[in-house]
Amino acid sequence: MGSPLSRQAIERVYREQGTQLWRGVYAFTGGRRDLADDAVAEAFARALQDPGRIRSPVPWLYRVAFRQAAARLREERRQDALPLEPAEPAGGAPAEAVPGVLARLTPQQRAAVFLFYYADLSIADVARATGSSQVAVRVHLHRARQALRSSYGSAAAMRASPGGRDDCELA
Amino acid sequence: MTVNWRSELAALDRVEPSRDLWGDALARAGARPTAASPRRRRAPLVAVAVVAVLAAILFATPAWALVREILPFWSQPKAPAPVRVVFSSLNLGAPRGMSPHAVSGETRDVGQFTFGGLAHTLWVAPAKNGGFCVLWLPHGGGGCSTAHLPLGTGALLRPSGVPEWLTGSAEASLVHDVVIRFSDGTTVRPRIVWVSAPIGAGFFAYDVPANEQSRRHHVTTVDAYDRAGRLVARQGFR
Repeated sequence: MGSPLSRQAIERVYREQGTQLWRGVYAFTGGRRDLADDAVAEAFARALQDPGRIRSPVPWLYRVAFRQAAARLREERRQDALPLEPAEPAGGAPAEAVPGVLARLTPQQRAAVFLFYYADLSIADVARATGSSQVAVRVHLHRARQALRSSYGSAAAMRASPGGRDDCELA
Repeated sequence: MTVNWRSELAALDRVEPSRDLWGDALARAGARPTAASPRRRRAPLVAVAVVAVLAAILFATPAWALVREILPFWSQPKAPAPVRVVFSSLNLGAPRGMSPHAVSGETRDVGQFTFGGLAHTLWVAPAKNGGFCVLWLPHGGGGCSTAHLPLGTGALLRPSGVPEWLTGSAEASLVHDVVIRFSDGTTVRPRIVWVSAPIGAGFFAYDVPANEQSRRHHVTTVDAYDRAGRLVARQGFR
């Protein structure tokens, strides 16, 4: 935890972490640029509204952006089937291709994997960023690994690399 | 078997926001009242000082330097099915590779404008490859802007070539102000409705007064200026 932030500090976070935050929401939404743009801009706007109440800006911004994007995804799922427009995907702009690994995961699992393996946040910070418990984060990571295991099966083994945070044992 | 997560996620290194979102965040924050706190409620003198400073800024600052309000696109009313069908039709009949790919299911009502003696609703839909498509209904026409040009205009022209009314759009990241100039040297700044991402543009319509529709007195240009007051685009008439 740090001290309350100023608007200048929020801007510094944007310059240093904004792109990574955007990539997190992009991954979370399965490759939706429009949702990522909107959620990230909204998260920083809310931070600017009252920066003094934020003590850990990065997890806070992730949490707000993820919630914003999740709300948008839920709203789109509730939308009607748009029967008059079969050529259009219901619910917003189309998703771009996300890395194959992420495409097989749920949004919550994608968020956990991104934050832990890509953004290098601790389990505690991943929990803060996703607004869930540390146990839930560990479960999401475990299930993400399970999903990978079932995807790759016993097919060609992936190239091993030196141990550490970047690696995940599948077998 | 070991998966290297970092290499699996490396594809994310190649994706970035298509634009700087900081300006969008600032605009959204600036468009809202700041959350009131007990300290603020106890300090009316601060409020008076703020009002005085704002008044000074209003008098001393050109219009394009003022913070503009941005309409949150996703919060606007969704279009009914008949309007969505019209937007779908924008994708039909385009030459190969030229379709704007309007996402008609996400069409929104972004405001009412009166011109040509009628109240028009401005419907806007995001385009799949960036940009947007617009329709001014019932009789204002429309089109798509996918090239991120600073300024786009439409007009109903009299047989003499002078405009009766104008509609237009301005790219929010490039344009801060729009000025309509007349042949007698006078100018008008139309009301611009700025719309947030994924549209990222401002829209305006202007009903030209009857006494400004003659060969001697008419609209000559629509000019777009950036935040520093530099001319970035001009559409001429006659």
